[in-house]
Amino acid sequence: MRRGLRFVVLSLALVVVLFPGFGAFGEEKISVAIQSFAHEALKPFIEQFETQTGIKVTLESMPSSGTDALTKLTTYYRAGQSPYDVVSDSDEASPAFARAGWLEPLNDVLPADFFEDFPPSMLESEKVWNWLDDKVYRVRHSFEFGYFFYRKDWFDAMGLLPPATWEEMVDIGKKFTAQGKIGVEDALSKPALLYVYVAYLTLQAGGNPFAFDEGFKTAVKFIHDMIYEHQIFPKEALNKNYDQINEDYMNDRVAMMRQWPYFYSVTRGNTEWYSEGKAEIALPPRGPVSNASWAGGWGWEIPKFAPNKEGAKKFIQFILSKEIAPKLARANSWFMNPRYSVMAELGDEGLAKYMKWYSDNNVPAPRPYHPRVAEAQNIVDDVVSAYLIGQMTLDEAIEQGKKMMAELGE
Amino acid sequence: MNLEGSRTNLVTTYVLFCVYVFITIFPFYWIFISSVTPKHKLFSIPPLYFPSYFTAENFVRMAGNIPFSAYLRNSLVFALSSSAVSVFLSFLAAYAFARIRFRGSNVLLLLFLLSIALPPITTVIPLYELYGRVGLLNKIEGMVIAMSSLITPFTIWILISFIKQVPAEIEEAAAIDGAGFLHILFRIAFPLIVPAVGTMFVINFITGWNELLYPLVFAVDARSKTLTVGLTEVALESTAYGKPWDLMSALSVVMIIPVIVLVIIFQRTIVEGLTRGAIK
Repeated sequence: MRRGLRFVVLSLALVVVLFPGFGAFGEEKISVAIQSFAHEALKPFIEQFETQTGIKVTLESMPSSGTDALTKLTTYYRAGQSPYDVVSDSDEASPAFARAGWLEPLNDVLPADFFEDFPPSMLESEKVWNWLDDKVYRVRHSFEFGYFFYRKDWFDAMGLLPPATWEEMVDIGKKFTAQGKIGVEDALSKPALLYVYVAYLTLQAGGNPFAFDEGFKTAVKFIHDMIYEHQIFPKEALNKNYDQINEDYMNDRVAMMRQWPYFYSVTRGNTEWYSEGKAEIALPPRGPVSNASWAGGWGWEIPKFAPNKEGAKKFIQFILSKEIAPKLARANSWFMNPRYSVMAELGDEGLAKYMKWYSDNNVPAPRPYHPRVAEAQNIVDDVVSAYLIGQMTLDEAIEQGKKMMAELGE
Repeated sequence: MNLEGSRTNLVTTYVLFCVYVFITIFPFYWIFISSVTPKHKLFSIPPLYFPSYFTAENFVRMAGNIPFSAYLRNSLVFALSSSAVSVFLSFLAAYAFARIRFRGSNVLLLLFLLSIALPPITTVIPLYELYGRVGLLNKIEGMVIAMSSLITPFTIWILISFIKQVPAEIEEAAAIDGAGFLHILFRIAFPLIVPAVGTMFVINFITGWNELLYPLVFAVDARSKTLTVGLTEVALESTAYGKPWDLMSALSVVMIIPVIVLVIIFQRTIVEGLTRGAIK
């Protein structure tokens, strides 16, 4: 009897050691890949999802930069495999994946009235970036655009209002430069950061940075003039990243600055420095055509090669629902976007107030689209940088950019 | 040359040497002080070259931001195993190339050279497909095989030159005394090129320790991810913009320590290995 019991126990132990997944046999599971900083916020909702569906969810970390994620995911998809069922992916990668046929359409997954929850500016951006031939391949959960931060305390002291146009921005910038401050600043280093600002101003000038059109020419000339003619924008910004301009701002050197939404919490988190009015937000100064600020972000997608596509679809339905998405946005600002349901939940809390304000004023515009966006952005970076440091004229830069873009093709 | 001239040369040499040392050491110093500087003081203007604020908080936050202990263990296993496997296989192959004349050995050596020239990114997709079929994805064993295959050709080339410097007469004498092939290989030849093997072990360890591409692609979760992947995953709170230099500096300091320890342990062997090739 005792020998028999020992045999059973030993056999069971052997099975557990040799087949670690034995206990989980038959359990449905999915793997969700997203940056680690979002995991804590997701956990309570994942527990709720697991309870509702019985599907076990494993959270996996993704690289924080879009290009590292692109390297990782391209290898998987090109090999016709995917270790993940649901992926939070960047603008740099997702459109190319959709065109390659590596993503699962989500039309059947989303409720019929799903996009009615989207304001026009966000919907337009979704269509440009995430739809292909009327099929939806990704839905953004983060929707970020540049905000115009300014020193309201300094403006008030000088009896100034935030600039409504580029011309006013230059005039006000000169007043601050005369006091030894930096009038306007943005990070213009390569790669990518210079492109961000060029694209921002090009949209306001009614152009497309990848077309090297008149709008592009106006915008780049404006940056050049701010640096060299009006001297309200430091030339050193050509070598600065976001951390450096943030420090410039929080060391009381900068009067006006376009920055991504995270700067809102960066300023408020610097309790030694921050006080009311030091990092107020205004609508972007209007260029020749608009005061648009392009929006990009990360979104949910299902790889065509996902091991459990049905489970992944249930997760997408759950996490993007009008019930869950607003609560998730409250838990972590990375999930904040101008969907009506999200804005209704967040009300006037923190940055949500400004996101709604921008959205109501149609400020967010679709990020300039190119099927090979990362490479196209590099071209813009290269030619604009060459112009701004005096290596070529603006006309030469435009000609060179058009040539390189034609060679890049689609 | 007069005394004045030689003194000037000496001073110039020392000045250049000091500049070189400063340029080499300064980035490490900067990483170190960034790792112990509070986040909000990192970009102070003017820069704080000698900070008065010190904190261990960056290390604590970094360890909470990624599964640090798992990544550290994986990094150690990955780098040590890749290095050990590559050095062992390279020694056997190098001995064969150096001592045994066989048809096509030169062609084979040239092929090894070609494989060194091949960028790893070009092979990563077929390798991924292959690993998927044989169940080596998300496993350190798979990454070790890939990494070893990457660094072995170069190691073979280096070890061949060292083995050729060992007089074949020593091995012939041992054979006359009745020593078998394995005895000659491991008891006679190996001890004579230990400095070279040790040096290559350290170099390969550092290469494996710093490797990003294979762990980034082949590792899916904390069971096989390494610290280099962790460096891409530490992030600012709630944003993909900007870089968490405080956390990245803390992680970099942790990543530098094992390399320094290993170099100190193998210091004599490395110096011997590097200088032996210079004198015949």
